[in-house]
Amino acid sequence: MPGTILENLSGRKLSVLVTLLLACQIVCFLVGLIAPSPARTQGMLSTICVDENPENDNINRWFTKKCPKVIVLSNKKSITGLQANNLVFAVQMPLYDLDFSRWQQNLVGILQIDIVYQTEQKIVEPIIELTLDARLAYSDKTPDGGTTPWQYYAHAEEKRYMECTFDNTAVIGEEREGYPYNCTMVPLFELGCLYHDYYLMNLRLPYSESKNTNLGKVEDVYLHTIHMNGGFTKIWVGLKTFFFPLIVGIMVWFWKRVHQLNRTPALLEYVLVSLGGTLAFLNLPIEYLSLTFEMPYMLLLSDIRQGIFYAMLLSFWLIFAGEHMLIQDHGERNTIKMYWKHLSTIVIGCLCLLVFDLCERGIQLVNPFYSIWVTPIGTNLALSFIILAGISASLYFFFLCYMIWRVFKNISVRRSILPSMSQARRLHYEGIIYRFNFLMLATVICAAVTVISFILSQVAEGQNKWDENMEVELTSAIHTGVYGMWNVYICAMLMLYAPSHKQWPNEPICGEGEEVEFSRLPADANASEISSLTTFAAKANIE
Amino acid sequence: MKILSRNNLAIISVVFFVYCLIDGDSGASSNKKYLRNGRGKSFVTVLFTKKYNNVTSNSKGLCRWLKGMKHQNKLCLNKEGLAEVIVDTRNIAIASCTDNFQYEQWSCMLQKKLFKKVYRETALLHSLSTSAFTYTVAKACAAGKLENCECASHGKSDNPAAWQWGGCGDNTRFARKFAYKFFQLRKKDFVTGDIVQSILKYNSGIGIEVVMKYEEKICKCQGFSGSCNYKICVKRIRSFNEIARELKNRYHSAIQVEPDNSIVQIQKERFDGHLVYLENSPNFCTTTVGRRCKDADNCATLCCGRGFATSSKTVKEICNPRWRNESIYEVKWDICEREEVVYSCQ
Repeated sequence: MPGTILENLSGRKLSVLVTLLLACQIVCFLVGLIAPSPARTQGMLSTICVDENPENDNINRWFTKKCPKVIVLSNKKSITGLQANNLVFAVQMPLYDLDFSRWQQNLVGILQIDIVYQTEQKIVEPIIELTLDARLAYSDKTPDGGTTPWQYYAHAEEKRYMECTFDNTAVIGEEREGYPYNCTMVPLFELGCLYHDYYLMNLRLPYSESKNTNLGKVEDVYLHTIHMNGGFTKIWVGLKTFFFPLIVGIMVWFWKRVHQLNRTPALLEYVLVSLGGTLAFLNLPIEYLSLTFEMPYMLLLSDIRQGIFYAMLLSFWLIFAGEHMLIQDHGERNTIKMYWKHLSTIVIGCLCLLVFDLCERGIQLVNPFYSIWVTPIGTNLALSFIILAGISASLYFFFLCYMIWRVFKNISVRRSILPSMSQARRLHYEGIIYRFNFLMLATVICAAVTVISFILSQVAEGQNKWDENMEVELTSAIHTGVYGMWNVYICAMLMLYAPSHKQWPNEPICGEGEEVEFSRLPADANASEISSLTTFAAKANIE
Repeated sequence: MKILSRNNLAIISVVFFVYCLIDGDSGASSNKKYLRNGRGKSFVTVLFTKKYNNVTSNSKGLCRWLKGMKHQNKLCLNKEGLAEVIVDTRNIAIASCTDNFQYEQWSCMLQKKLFKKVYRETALLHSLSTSAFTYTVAKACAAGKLENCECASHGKSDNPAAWQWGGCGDNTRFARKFAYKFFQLRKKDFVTGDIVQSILKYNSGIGIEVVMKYEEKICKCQGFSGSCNYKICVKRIRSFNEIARELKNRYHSAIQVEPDNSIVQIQKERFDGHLVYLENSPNFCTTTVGRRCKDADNCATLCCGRGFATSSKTVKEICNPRWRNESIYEVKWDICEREEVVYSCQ
């Protein structure tokens, strides 16, 4: 009976395979170097327009940069006689003559409200409850070079909290007049797709007895937008397009091999195939569709895809470690049920994140201005989901570490009986253990690199960490590198854990160094096992 | 923004180092050339002293007052929106200067003699002009009013393809870069020059650095379920008021240097961000006659020991302000009368 390819492949072939995979990994990293940073921001100053009849509820009245009456709020003359409800802060996105490209994927808007000190209008409470009447419109280019009229996209009246502080010690007396408050920025909207060429935001700060009563004198309103970079999306989707057929091909090949055996597939094989499946799902380049169709659910979808992948990967590790620890009783086949305790942490964690995600991104499909974080209840809810997910994650890691520790302990105990075996057998098992350790090391490195890159991308913040004039974008390289690494790792897993065709005669194989062929020994022939390492551990158990 | 300011300093030091290599020992002797470096008046002088009359609103008319400045005039004419930016720069620089210095001996009087030597005031005006310019450019960029500042990070290309590929650069970064170009503070602008020039350029560099220091960075996480897959930082410049106040502090902490050793010092110490001047300020005491001062303490310094007069007058003042119910921009108030002591110098 064949073992896995990991056990049976000759050292030379194995090293060729490893080199190929490593090269693939390096290419992924290098490809990231030519990409621009994943996302960009653009700060835009709003044009302050005067709405002569604010009572008019017609939703299709839009104020653009070229609105008939523009004022400057710092100029006292120009605001006399105006009421808060007259003012419309208009921002046209993007700036200049540019237009959005669908490659830029999504758009996030953050509001910066500059408030200045005024004796007559001091801010009493540091936490200001803002009521924002925000409207979004879109417009598209027409083939003849013009643009279509502004069309309604979304409208909402939202509450946001802003914290404003004033440096009372640094500025004293008369100098305070006109000195700015230090206010936090407020998130405004999140668009899951950038289908249209131009967007326009009209913001009002309505004033009534219950709205915006605490607001000070506003001087400027900035909107900072964040969008993905087209170049980064292109490279990213390119990677996906490359890996998708590759992973599907390897999966098909793997599954064929498993079915050629005269046994039902083992648990580890099922798990491997589903891991490949979730990776293929993650790799599926549906971003191409967003170039032709309006898909506001792209953000949600990519979150779900990523979530499923992570859940599967974490489950895989648990089962992978478990299978080598032999928690099953002798002879009994492993089923997924054996792992319910371990897997439940993953399921709970992922469900929490999914609910949180559906709450935030799901509602954003209907109302792009929605944010779960702005109300105290929402914040608590969101936090509790995230905390629950965090607890699950730490429980998971506790489980995993424990299992890996037991695997290694188990193997080292069995190893001690190796010297008593015949030479061929010993070489065989030593080789297997060596390779298995190597694979475990690769797994640990993968996980470590992911964590490190995650931390790095928090610290680096792309353009500023490195020299300003440096064209190379390291953040992107880290992202593509890690993405490539997962693909490479799972490809390697699928290939190395596929059943081998090799049938070796019952003769002791001796060789030097790498050239030893780790064949199955007839004594180990056990149709229900996929790898001789598991058998080895089990056998040693019995002995 | 400490990285930027470090860079800033690095650039300045490199600039001065190169300059020193070229200029070697000209030190004291070239001191007499003062602000004339073969190109006529410096731009800062023109900015503060030349009257500009806003007769036409096209860019040619708006740039006319810069006629003597070859470099700046050319940029002004070629870059749409820059003319307005320069006028705004002038306005906010002068307004904040007069505002901040109303109770100082030097009340921000913009006499031509201030630009003939390097006084403390000259140092301030140089840094003020560059910071006002940087601030205005960044703001104009954010408002979409200045041509070509959208894709600064690509340098040469502002074509739509580049925008699609790599998005746009950051406004303040562009503003900083552009201010260096506009005020000719870059390395290649140091072909001719002397110690005076280098000190002025150093002071101008401080102005830009202060703007960058007051830039605030707010970061936001993006990615799977709000996790920090991508961390994106948004930058904002705080109000010009704060920048001007900081410069006023630096005006008070400015360092006088000897022309002979300052090159070495610029190279080595970089004065730690202090403004640097060469000559003691002219006596402003003659100008303070009749000026108002804040209180007895302030009057003692402002009036140069001549004493001050107090008079009381009744001022009508807004009091009991409250918001009109329907507006946050209109405030309702009463007019109260109050006796106020007015201090003025004799």
